[in-house]
Amino acid sequence: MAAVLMAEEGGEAPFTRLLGVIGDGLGWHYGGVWLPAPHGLRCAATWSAPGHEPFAAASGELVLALGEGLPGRVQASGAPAWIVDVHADENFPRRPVAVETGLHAAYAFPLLGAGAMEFLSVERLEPDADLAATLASLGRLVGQFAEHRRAEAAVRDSEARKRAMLDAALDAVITIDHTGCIVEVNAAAEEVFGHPAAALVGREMAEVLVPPSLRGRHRAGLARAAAGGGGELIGKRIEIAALYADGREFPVELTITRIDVPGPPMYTGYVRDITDRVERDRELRASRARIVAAADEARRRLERDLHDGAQSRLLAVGLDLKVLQGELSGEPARRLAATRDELQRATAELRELARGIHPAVLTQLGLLPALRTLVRRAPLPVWLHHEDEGRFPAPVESAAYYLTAEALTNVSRYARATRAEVSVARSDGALVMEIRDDGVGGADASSGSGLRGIADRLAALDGRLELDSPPGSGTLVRGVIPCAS
Amino acid sequence: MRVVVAEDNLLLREGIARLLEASGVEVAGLAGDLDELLRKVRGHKPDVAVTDIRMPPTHTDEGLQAARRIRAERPGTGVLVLSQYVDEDYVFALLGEGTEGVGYLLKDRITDGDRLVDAVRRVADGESALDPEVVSHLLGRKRSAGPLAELTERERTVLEEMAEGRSNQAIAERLFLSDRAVERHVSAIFAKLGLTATADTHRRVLAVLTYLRA
Repeated sequence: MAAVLMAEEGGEAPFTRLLGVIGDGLGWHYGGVWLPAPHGLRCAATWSAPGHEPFAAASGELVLALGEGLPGRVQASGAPAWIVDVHADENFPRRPVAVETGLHAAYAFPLLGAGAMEFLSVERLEPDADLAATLASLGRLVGQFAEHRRAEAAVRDSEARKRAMLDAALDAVITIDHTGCIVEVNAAAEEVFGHPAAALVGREMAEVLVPPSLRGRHRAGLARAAAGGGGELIGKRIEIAALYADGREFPVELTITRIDVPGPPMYTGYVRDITDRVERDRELRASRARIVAAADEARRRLERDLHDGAQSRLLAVGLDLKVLQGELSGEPARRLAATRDELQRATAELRELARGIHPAVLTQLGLLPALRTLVRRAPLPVWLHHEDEGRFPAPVESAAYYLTAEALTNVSRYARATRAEVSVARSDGALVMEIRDDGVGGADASSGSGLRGIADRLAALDGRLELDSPPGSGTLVRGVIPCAS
Repeated sequence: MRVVVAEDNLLLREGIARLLEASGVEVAGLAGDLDELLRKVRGHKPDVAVTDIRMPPTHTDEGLQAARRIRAERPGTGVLVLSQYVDEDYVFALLGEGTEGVGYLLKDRITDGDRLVDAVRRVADGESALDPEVVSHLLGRKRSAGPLAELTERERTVLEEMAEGRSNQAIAERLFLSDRAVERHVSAIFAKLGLTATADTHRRVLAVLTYLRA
């Protein structure tokens, strides 16, 4: 009997053989195993001596409620039950079939854990204490076995569900051991990396999925983790390059988790191919930069056209009027003088307008000379600090200039400050502009389009705008613009 | 007094020429680019060449090149350079090779009063004529507390006049001071700024400007 139980066998076959062994041993003619089902018990396995197959068949199709029938009452009471003659029993749904096949005595005992085992014989038998005792301990053993089988089935189910979830995932899920060998991959890994799943398991991940330039770092990280350190990347989402089967590198988003199991840990990586997203981002940034550059070019052209066209014309007209004035006297001369004054004002306005659109000195001489002019024309004292006379790429100088112009305009309009400072510095390959004032603070970048527009312009160059303006404490406008040069 | 005018914008060129002639200055020749300017100067031998800084072919520093070449070939010829805005580097390049008979004027200002004619005359006389905008541009840099802050109002004005290239006498006339008063102010200024006093009008222009720029 132990041999039967120990044999690893799937399904209910062990129960059937067990029933056969016991039934034959006892000289009885039918045996059945009942296991818990929703709402009661179901017949999980039967054995019958030749001639009693119908009874076995009828039992197999039956589902008994708690307390119903022989198995039901054993399960309900938790104690064995002996029926001398089922023909006389009120609570035996299978009585008709028993009568037909000539089965009389029945004995059932609980299986530890739930369920029951029953045997029927053609003879009418009185309860036998020894038999009962033997069968009771047998019941416990079988119960344990049934419980074990149930747990195994549950694990198999959950394994199957987990597997199904992993395979349904669109991202690749790859598990490696502490030496870096691939232990498990899901179906998506084939799609993402271009290797059949079977070809990956057992290989060193660094060798097959990591670009050559990153292998050293990867192996070093694993070694550090094995030595008790490392772990900086665990649980973080990082963007990194991966290796496709054909040898090309592609960008991925990677999250690594550590699995703590007895012994050395294992690691699972969740990998998403972000080639499309990276491409989209690149195109977006490029198009944004193009828009800003186009706008700047249009402004430069406008300034040039104004200078070469309308401004020169007005200047020439002014010169002519000056000559004319020399030839007149009295009232006409006075009226002409007034006209010339008007012309001077118009010319000055046009000059200011052109400078506001785009100061020629910015294109031709660069940021610092343009800032010097800007600073000097401010209505309040402004200090200009800079380290050297070095130049920056044209779009960067443009952005820095307009940032300063906008900031100083705000200072003169709102800040009620007594002085301001503009500083130009280089830091980590970026241009850092700071415009400080000692005014009333409380500036807000979201209200008003001026700083918002500047922030957008800086963002188009991968820069950023920072505003620090606590009420009552003055304002600091800071622009950081990376320079490719 | 005879001049040659070089300016690539036709309207402006004609306008400047007419203005100068109306003020009694003879315009011997007109040019639209560097080569033409040099040719006309060689041909007409004027007292002063009035030239735009940016002209064909490169529109960068043709005026400076002209100044260099004209003064090398015909020393004693004045050069008055016209510019759209203050370019410190050009100013110092111009003055660096000698402050006599050289001028730098902003185009925006040539319709103001007699500025243009005045500058031409001063340059013809061998003086320096710098647009006040240049001076205030340089003065504007030195906002932090320094020796400049120690100057009195009057001394600052005298300093600006000096920086524009005026002689003591010219300053005295403009500010309604006596020559001696101007001398006293000049000495005081040089002392406060820590500069070596020099009576030479020309050298001191450069000295003052260099001080202001540093």
